Amino acid sequence: MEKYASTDKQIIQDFLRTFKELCQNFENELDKVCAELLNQIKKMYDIENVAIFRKMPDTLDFELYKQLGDKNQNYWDNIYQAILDEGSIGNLLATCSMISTNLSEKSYLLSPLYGNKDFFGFILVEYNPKEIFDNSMFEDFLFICSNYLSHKISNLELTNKITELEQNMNLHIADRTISLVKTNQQLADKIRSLYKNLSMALPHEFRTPLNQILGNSDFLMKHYNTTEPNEAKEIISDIYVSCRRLQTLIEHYLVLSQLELIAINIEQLEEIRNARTESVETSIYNILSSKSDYELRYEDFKIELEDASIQMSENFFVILMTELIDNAVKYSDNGNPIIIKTKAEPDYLVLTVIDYGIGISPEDLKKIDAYTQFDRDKLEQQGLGLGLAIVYRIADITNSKIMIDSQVNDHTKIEIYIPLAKNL
Amino acid sequence: MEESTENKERVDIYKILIVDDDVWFHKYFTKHLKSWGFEVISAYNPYEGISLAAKEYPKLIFLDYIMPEMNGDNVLKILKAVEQTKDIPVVFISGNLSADVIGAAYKIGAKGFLTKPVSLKVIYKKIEECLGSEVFAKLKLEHNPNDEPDFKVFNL
Repeated sequence: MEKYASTDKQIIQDFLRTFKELCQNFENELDKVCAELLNQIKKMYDIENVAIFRKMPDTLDFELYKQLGDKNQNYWDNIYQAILDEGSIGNLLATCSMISTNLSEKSYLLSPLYGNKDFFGFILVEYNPKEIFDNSMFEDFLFICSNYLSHKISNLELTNKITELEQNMNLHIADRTISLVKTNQQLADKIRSLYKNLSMALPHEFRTPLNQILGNSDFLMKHYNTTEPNEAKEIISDIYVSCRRLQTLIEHYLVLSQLELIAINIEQLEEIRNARTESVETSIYNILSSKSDYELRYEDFKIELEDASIQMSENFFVILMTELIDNAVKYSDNGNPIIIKTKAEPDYLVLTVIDYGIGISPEDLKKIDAYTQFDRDKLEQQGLGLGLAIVYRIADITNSKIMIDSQVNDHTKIEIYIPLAKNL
Repeated sequence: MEESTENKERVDIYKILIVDDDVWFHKYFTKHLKSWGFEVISAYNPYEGISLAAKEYPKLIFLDYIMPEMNGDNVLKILKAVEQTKDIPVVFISGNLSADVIGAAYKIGAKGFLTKPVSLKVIYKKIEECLGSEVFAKLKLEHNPNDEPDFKVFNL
């Protein structure tokens, strides 16, 4: 029960109550029908000692369910025992037809009753054949009565079953609805926090480069005539750098928000996990060709690539690889080697990028971890780039693993284990 | 005398000239062409390309279409105008180009167009097409068997 919330408990209690009422209804109805039938028999033949025996659930024992006269329980129990000993009950069960028998100068008629799928019980009549005008007619009458009762019982049982099923169904639907509402709630929370994170971090990060651009261009406009060409050139290159920073930021934000949205969209996730990059080597060289910054460091790059196909879309691989190479170039000085290696293991492609630059402190590494868990608003204010967060997110989405080994002012080694492409 | 021309012929089969201002493309391309047994000559600008083509008599030239100072079609026009180089097959390698540019390039005698990023399979097929299908068999024979060339990528 613990797994149900209070609302769930309420629903179950409701259900149990209805179910009890239902059973009560069934018994009441049955009671009414039986009473009616017994009255009919009395009306037609004026017989007092008529009883209905009902089979106990799960056993083959019968017990008195209803009688017409006012005999005590013992009276009927004795008769039942006698008939049972004599073998008539066994006959009744075996043949499923009407049985008549005589015991100590009295005649008895047993007529079986059927429920929907089971033997329900029987009608027992104690009578004096001499008092009855036409015995066969009486038997026919009793036969019709028991059939009628059987029919009624089947109907009642069916109705009961249907209502029970309906109740069950309602319970399941309620249960399902609750879990759906909960999932929706979680999704809404996630989107809300995503929105919050993005909107909180965005203005701060944008303001710094934007202010630099505004300040510098403002200065140039005001002091256009008095600025030395050299100075002006410096200012313009400052503006350019700030613009580039802003551009990278915007691109990162777009990529990251797209990734966050993908991560909560199951269908899209499936599609992305099926995409592949045919040739890692071609892709990496293509990335290197794409930026002129990399050509300036041509001599520093040490590239050892083993080609393979991986289970990651080309688009994602390019984003991930660009981030890694960008970081390596940005955070290490000219002349320090940058190593890019790929090696195909049985299940994974091991991608290694090593630079000998400023490194990442263990605290900052922890922050990246936390960062992927939606703590962006705090971290972004400390100026930690979004690049690695993007790498983490992509790895997360594509079932890749990341290992970072770094020492401040010495080196950064990033190893990514990307699943090899499944054979088609 | 006869022996030396034969020798020259033999060496020439393996010479491929790459003219491209993209250093990474050279690195990638050279690595694989060398692993297949070719001798690679690299030119990083159009002028270097033209002079090396005239000097080295390569059997095949891979030429970047878009380069600073002079585009690939002009380089091709010059190559076709010079007696020593007019018969060397030239394959353009470039990013996405429009159909009329490609058409014009074919008109002046280009042997083919490859789009960057080029897969090794495509390069392999193009070389086979330009130099004849027996070229790789010859390379395989003459290549040092200890230095296993990278043929496995194609599942031949």
